[in-house]
Amino acid sequence: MPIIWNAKLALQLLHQCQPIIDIESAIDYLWSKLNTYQLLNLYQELFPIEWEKSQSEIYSENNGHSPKELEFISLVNEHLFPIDDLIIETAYEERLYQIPVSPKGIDWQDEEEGIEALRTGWQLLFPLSKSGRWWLETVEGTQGESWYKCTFGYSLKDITHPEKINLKLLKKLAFRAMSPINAFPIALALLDLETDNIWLDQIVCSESYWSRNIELRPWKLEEVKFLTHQWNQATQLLNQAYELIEWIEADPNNNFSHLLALWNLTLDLK
Amino acid sequence: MKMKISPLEFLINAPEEVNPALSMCRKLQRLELVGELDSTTMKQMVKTIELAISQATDDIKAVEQTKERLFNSPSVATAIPTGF
Repeated sequence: MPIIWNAKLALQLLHQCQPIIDIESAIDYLWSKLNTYQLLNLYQELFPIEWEKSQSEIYSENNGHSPKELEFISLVNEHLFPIDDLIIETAYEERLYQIPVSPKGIDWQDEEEGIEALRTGWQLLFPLSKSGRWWLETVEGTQGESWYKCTFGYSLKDITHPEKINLKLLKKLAFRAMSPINAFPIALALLDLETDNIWLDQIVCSESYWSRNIELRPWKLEEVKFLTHQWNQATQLLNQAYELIEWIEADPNNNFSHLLALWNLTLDLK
Repeated sequence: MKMKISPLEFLINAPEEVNPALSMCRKLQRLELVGELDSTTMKQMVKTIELAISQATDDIKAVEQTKERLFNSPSVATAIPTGF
């Protein structure tokens, strides 16, 4: 029997004496214990120094996470991959049974923000991405097309359709170019949600933050490692793309025409 | 020749067992109560709990299916009352 040195521990132990007689409560209890053991195991495995130093309570006052578990979730957010602040806040009351993978890509399809919220550099690249081009050509009749022409002075007819472009060749040519032009295909992949990265390719079309249908992954070591690796890759891709966006915005007319020249070169070299 | 068993006989002959979730709960509560849950035990417990949850869910499904079959089975007299 462990030494009962405070009321919290006493309450926790008393809770273990409560008989569980119906199957539904039994399964709920098992899910909650499974979650606790998974998080504490991961804490010890991934942050052994912090685990040794930690003085946080291992028991929770309600059915939610214990302070020790919350400490681990914060460490994950701090050192491995992002967990939204709002989700961390709710974790004080509701258990995070799975890892939430909140989209961190270029979310121009979001209903609240939309295309208007995008930076000019991204907007300029719109007709060069497959989904951006589709949006400009089809959404709200010809409004998309005229908006682009009025804002940037380019007619869509003057820009070759992305489906006619040899993407492999574009990647090769961009790869040989100087930074940040070499991030050109990455930026297009971000707009099209085709980066093959779990953090960057999710579509979030929902009315509110809580109705989002985000990807969830189990609290397992291999999953945490996978998400950490994917997040490192995602930040690299985003940094490269943002460098390109800043470069475009520094001199939009001139720099976008450089990109268009590269774009058209893939047609000439066919 | 195959013997035809009635649903009731089938139920009577079915083995009696506690749902794995309930027995696992008791086991965990005992471990927590006596303070035997160290990191090694917790690691072992993760797989055991996952298995118990999966078995418990299968058990619930099996019970539900049996109940449904029982409710849908036609009523058959097991004996003929005297005089008929």
